[in-house]
Order: sequence, then C-alpha cells, then structure tokens
Amino acid sequence: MSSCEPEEGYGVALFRSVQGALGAERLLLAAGIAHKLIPVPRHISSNCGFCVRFAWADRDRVEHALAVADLGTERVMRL
Amino acid sequence: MIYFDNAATSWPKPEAVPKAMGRFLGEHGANPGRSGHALSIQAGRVVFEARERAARLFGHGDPMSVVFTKNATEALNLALQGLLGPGDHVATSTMEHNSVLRPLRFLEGRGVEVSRVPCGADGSLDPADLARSVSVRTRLVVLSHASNVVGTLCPIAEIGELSRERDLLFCVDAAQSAGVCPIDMAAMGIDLLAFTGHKSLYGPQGTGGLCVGERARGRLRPLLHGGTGSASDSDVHPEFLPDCYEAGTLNAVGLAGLAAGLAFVEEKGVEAIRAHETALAARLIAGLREIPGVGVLGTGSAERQTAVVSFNVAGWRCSEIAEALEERAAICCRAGLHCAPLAHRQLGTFPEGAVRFSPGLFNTETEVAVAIDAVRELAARPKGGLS
Repeated sequence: MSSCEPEEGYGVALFRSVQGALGAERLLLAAGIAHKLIPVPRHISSNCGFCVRFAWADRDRVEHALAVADLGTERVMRL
Repeated sequence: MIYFDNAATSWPKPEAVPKAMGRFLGEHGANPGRSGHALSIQAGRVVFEARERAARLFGHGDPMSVVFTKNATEALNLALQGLLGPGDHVATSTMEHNSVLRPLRFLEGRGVEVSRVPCGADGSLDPADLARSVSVRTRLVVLSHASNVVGTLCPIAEIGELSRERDLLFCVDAAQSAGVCPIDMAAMGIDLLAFTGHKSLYGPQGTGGLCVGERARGRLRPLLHGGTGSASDSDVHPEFLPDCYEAGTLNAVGLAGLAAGLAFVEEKGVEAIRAHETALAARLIAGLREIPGVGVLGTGSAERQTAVVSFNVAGWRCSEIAEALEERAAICCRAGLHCAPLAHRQLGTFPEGAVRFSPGLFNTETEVAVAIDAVRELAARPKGGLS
C-alpha cells in the first residue's frame, strides 16, 4: 500500500462488466467523490478489465451515488 | 466533384471524426474492457462516450443497452434472428431494404410467417393496412423509418402506438434517418432501434448498433458467443447488456470516430441538419420535375421524405445517366436497385431501377443547381449522343 493510503483503507466497487465501471466513473465524477479505475483484483473477481477503487471512508457516498443507475454492480467491498 | 451519395455513406466527414480516430490509434489504441491499464481504460471511456451519446440522441435512457455492431444489417439480424422462431408472425412492408428482407426470407425457411404489407405508389405505408396484417401470432413489426430508395418517411409514432396496443414489439431500421430525423424511442414506442454509424451520424464504416428497449430486454438470442471480458471464470456466455451481444473485441477506433460524429450531430442539432437537407431536396425535386422526360419518384414533397431523390430519364438506362453525370459534371450518385427489390417493384421501376441523388449536410444549393442543369442537358440529348 502506498504511504498516502487513506486512514480506513480502500474499498472497491465491482461490476459485471467494464461498462458498469465506466458508468460509475461518470457518477462519481459528478458527485465529486475521489476514486480510481484499477485492474480487477484477481483474488476477488474473475472479471477481466477494471473496477473502481475509493477511500473506504466514502463508502456510503459511493453506494448512494451508484444507486441511481443500473450499472450491474456486483459488490462493494473493503479491499 | 459533387458527392450526392450520402444515402450510401456520408462524405466528407466532419474534421473531428478522422481526428478522433487518429488520436485513438496514436494515443490509446488498446483493447477496451479487457485489461486494467491506463490505455485500456481510456479506450473504454471512448467507447462508453459513444454509447452515452447514442442513447441520448435516440431518447433511450440507458447507455448499457446500446449494443454496438458493425452496421445496421448486423443490428437488424440480431433483432430478427434473435427474436423470431418457428410459428411466429412478423409484419413488414414492401419498401424495406434487403437488410430486413433477406433475414426475413431466411427465417421464412425456418417456420416464421412473414407479411409484406404493400405501400402506395409513392412508397408511403398506411398504418391501417399494417394493422390488418397483424394476427394473434404476430410477435414483431419491423419497418424502415425512411426508404433508402425514395426517402419516404414511415409514420413510426403511429405504428409504435399500434404495436403497444396490440402488445407487439416494434423494430425500426433507422439506417437512413438516424441523425437527420428526430427519434425518441420512448415517445415513439420503439422497442428495437437499428442504426448505422456511417451515414447521417458521420462515423466511419464498420460501425452501427441496436438500442434495446425495456420491453425487448432478455428476449433476443445472441448472434455470436465469445469473449466479453466479463464473467471470465465461466465458459457460458453472459446474459446481461451490452456484453451478451458484443462478443469479441469491438471496433473501438471506429467507435471513436462515431463518438465524434455523434458529438457533431448534437452540436449542429438534428432539426438544423434536417432543415438544410430538406431545403436541398425540395430544390432537387422541383428542378428535376420541370425537366421534360424526367420522372421523379416518391412523394414529391421534401417534407415527407429524407433527402433521397430518385428519378429516371426517358430513353436512358439509369446506369448510363449515372455514368454520364460523373463523366460530364463529376457528380457521384448511385444507380440501380439500391438493395431494395420489392421497393422498386412497388414503385414500378423493377428491374431497371433508378438514379438516386442523396445530398447531405455538406452539399450546397449551388451544387444542386449544377446537378439539375446536368440532368437537363442529358435529358435533351438522344441516348448515346454524348460523343
């Protein structure tokens, strides 16, 4: 983990496909929530492509922002 | 050179289109949706932008249900072959392109019943005729929004309403209308909208798509099965949109161009584009009709059609006219049957066909005047008297 890791660590939002992660990026940008698209961690999903990483402290805000669209969200979990 | 073949493919493209494609290949031409590195993510963003723009243009709320295909033909095959099975009935019209007629002929051989509703001499469809063809076994109505031969517009909102009333799915072939006629899937009752990217959306060839409305979701069998980058632990094809209909790597560089074309349409405005093309079509129709020996097909009203103006000249084969127009006035147009044999039968121009002028947004009234003069000059000459 990098030295600037948030105090509560990171969470990830996983989607059925990268289209969901790209839709989530739009929503999180609009909501002003810091995030990053990262390769899907192999130990938690078999999907190729990428998912969304965010500060776990923002979990509620992230879930609220993603709830407005059907993005095929599979899981929101602590990394 | 005067390019009057926009109904086959639009040309030139807005500057932003080749620029976007060059940028894609030069800066982030990775595989969208397969890997997690920056280039793949950026490629994915470009494709997603195209999805969002297409969804917005067609009054289709959900970018996830914009499925990209290589053209409108593939999109129509997905809709028709994906939905229809033995015992189903489908209603269509005689004005359709082979992209609808041939898949339906193929499906007829597999037990699907097809009604081809005749249209008027100007290519117009009476919704009452269509309604009479519907039976309890009818599952789908499929119609082109605008004829590729004479541009005649179909009353799709009326048919959409009829389809809802009878609980049928409604598929629209928007190859000739997307980008130049307002389309609102929700308001017009369209369940499946097939579009091409390379005509009035100004994208490159090799792009197109199918917008899958709420009522059609989960009802189409995929044409292709394969890698999607999702559910990679399973050898069973996924069932969710858009992945279920997008097996294999997309034409991402083409979609980069399509996104730029869609942005151009959004910036210009469909109404403004339509107004320009309607003005050109009105001049063409009026000018050609005045020439002795020239018969203009279709409605005779630019308001009731797209900017597709087909005609024949007495004593000439349509192919000879097209050749002479190019040689003498550098006019690029299309002669023949335009992949629509039943439409030409309906219009009384089978098997000869017709000359088709299809001006576009980048054509001018001056070019229309030059073209009319060129046709007038040919019509005044006896056939073969060009040397």
